[in-house]
Amino acid sequence: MSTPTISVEELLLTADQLLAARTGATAAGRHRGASLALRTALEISIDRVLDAAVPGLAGTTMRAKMLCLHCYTTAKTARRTNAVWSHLCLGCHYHQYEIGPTHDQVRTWRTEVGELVGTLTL
Amino acid sequence: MTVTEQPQQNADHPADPAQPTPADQRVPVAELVRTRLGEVALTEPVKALLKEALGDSETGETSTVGRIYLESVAVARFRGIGPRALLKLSPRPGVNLVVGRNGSGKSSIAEGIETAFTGVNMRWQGQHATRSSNWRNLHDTDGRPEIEVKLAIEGDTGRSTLTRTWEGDDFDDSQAELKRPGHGRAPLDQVDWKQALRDFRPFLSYVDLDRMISGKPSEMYDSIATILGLGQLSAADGRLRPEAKALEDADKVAKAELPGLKEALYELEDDDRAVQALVAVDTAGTPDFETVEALIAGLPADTGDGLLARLRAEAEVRGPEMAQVRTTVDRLRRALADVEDLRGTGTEDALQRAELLERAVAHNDRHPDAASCPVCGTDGMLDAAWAADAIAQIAALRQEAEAAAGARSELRSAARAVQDLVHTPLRIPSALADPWRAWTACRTISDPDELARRAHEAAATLADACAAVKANAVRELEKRDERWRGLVIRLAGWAERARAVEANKPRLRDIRKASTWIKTLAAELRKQRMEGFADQSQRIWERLRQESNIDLKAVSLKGSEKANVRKLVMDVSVDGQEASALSVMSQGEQHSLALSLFLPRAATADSPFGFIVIDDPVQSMDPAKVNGLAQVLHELGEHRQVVVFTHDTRLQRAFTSQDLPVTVFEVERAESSKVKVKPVTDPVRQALDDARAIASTSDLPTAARTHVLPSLCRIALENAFLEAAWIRHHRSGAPEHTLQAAVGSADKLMKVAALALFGDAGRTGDVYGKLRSLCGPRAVDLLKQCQDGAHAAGAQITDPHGFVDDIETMAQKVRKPEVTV
Repeated sequence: MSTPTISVEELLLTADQLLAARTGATAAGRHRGASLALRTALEISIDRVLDAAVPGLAGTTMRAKMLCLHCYTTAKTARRTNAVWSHLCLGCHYHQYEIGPTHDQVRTWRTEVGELVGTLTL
Repeated sequence: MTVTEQPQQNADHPADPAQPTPADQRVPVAELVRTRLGEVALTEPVKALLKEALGDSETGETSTVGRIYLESVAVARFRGIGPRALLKLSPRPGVNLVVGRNGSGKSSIAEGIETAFTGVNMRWQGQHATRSSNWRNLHDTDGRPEIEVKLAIEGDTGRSTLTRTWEGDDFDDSQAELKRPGHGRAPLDQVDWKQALRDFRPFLSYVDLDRMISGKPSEMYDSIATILGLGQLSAADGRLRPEAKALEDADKVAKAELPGLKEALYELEDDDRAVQALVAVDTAGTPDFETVEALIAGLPADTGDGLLARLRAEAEVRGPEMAQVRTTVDRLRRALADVEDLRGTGTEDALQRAELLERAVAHNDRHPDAASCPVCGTDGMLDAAWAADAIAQIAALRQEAEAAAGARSELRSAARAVQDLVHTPLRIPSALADPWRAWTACRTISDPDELARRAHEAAATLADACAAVKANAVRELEKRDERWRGLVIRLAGWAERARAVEANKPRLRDIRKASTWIKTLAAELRKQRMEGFADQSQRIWERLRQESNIDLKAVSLKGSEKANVRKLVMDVSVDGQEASALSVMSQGEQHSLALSLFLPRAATADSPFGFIVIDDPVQSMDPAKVNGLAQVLHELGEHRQVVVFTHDTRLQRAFTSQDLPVTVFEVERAESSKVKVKPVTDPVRQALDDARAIASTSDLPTAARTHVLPSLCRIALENAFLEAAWIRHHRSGAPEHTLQAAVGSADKLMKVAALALFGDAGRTGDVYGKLRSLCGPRAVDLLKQCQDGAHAAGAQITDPHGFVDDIETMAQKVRKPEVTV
């Protein structure tokens, strides 16, 4: 793949804006929004890697995609991707017993996704 | 959050053993000491001392028992468990989660394991009886409570069984027995890992953590210092101490005695024995014991100039014997009188007259008829009567001459006898000089009469003087002797002690050297091991702290093991500001810190326990920390069998979401305390589940089936082989790193398979044959298909579900190693 597409960049930018914003929605809401943007950016990147390797692979379930990713990228990248994706999924949803992700948490996810998006396009 | 914060730490793959924890790289202390002893340049006596001191210590303890893993735990009629509940584990490193709701009975199992080993339970210790009284199960009261733990001990082909039973209702009154193949049955008290159980306690509960972190600084120091393995060294040093102390004390006593002794000797400066003793005692370096002992034995001194010698001479002075003098002088007097009596009777004259008469008688005999005297011519005079008279006269004259000669000779002899009485000793005490001179002068008196007079007088004077001098000298000597005797006893006592000290000096020197050696080694090890330990703590803290703004900067031990002020120092900083750890931390953070400190303890190389049981470590952790905890536990699980009991489902999720291998059990509780432990997943099943997920994904491109599916199945097989290989390896007692080398190699699957099937990584060529006989004719094809997934062509799998089923059957077969003795 060449450069990241504009949409991935846009999503990362959205996440950044949500993290930086001081007004608007509640903090928890903004953190969840940022998580969603980051997860989508990550999923787009995953699809690209998989589609480039096996056309049509991006159309399958996320679980299968995560498993397939091990075959088409380094084990380390696959694991990092899986881990941060799992965490983002938790961050996106409202869980009855869990408080939403903190600012710092989303910030670290943002950094990780930023790095992975770069790595996954290689 | 976790993973992203330390990308460099994620570099090591969960299954990649290339980076063992520092704890496992460490050599047990006993071994290290042996190596070091061989290397150092110490004298033989010092080495012997060290060996003796170190030899009886627990040094051997850890090495006699191979590492111990849990194979199963069966708990019956104990706490929340009624009928026997069984937890079956794979006796090897790896993380096991036992998940269950609060009250499901999982904690009863955790406590059961601890109780089986220790007979006590930390949670109840020190608590009121009302809380610990319900240790027996309320429902099932038909039989006795019993806990049975099956253990895999490194190098043992069979399993050991640890059983704890109770006779009565008192929880503290229990019996434990270990049945080990080849060792028979023995009460647990007698097994040699008893001390290790205290030092390395492989049980951690939330209460434990709380207690550890809230202990006194010195207690925290001790619990960390113990696991550094330096207890053995400090015990060895402790063994050397008493003797060194005794010797040092003896030295001190002898030294303390010396000033008083010297002072006493100074007081006797007029006694040259004292002076000599003083010189001998005060000799720089080693006292002159020979002189001291000669003085004590009372041997005469070589030099004889002192006052004491003079007194001794005076005491020994011998004047004239008055009785003898009297007798001899009397004799002289008698001889004088005899000579006086014979005065006028010239001996010569009498003899000549006798001779003349003899000649006349002879002449008369020759001329009997000549009647006239040939001298005067008178006739008629020389007749027979004359001759008879002349013969009588001759006899009288000769007798008279003899008497006179005798008297004179007697006088000479008597005078000589008197003069012979005079003797002059070599040394004459000055007080006796005059009388002795007068006495000596008697020798030169020639006149017997004068001699008789003066000899008696001089002798009497001298004898009196001598007696006076002698009496005085003896008195003086006695006075000195008495003081000396007192001193001599003191001196002898001191000499004996000082000599012993002197004789023991080399020994003390050796002991000190040995002690210094141990202390130096201990200091070096403490530093080195503490660094390793602190590194681990910091690494764990980094994982567990997550968003905490508290940095654990350093963990160190302050003071030595015996210091009163010893403490565990934890330097932390809060947003860059230094602070005391415990005061700034929240409950959850303290908990994390405690885990950071005490998880490395479980992984210490000196511990014979390959397992660690952790009860509820997740409490009060926020979600992000749970991910970190999973990583920490996973790392620990690379070298230890980690059994975690938790009610928190987040931990399991943290393992799976981070692709960390884990074995999960679920504890369920039915009515009447029927507790069931159900296996949920394990690394083999995890891979199989992944494979099934792919197989079940309908719209998957072919490539996923030809490449991804076989790869996942391959992982399942690999994990199954690994499990078997590990257990077989442990049984053989072979070192762990040979297994690690095989696992880390490029040809991993085949090597691990060879290890699993034959216990020999080199026999990869025999793997197919063995697999065929073990799992049927298709096994080799299945294995090859799994391997093909990694190749460009991939594996042609027509029936994905059937394929996964076949792999599962095969995996279940190979994961249990055959027992080949």
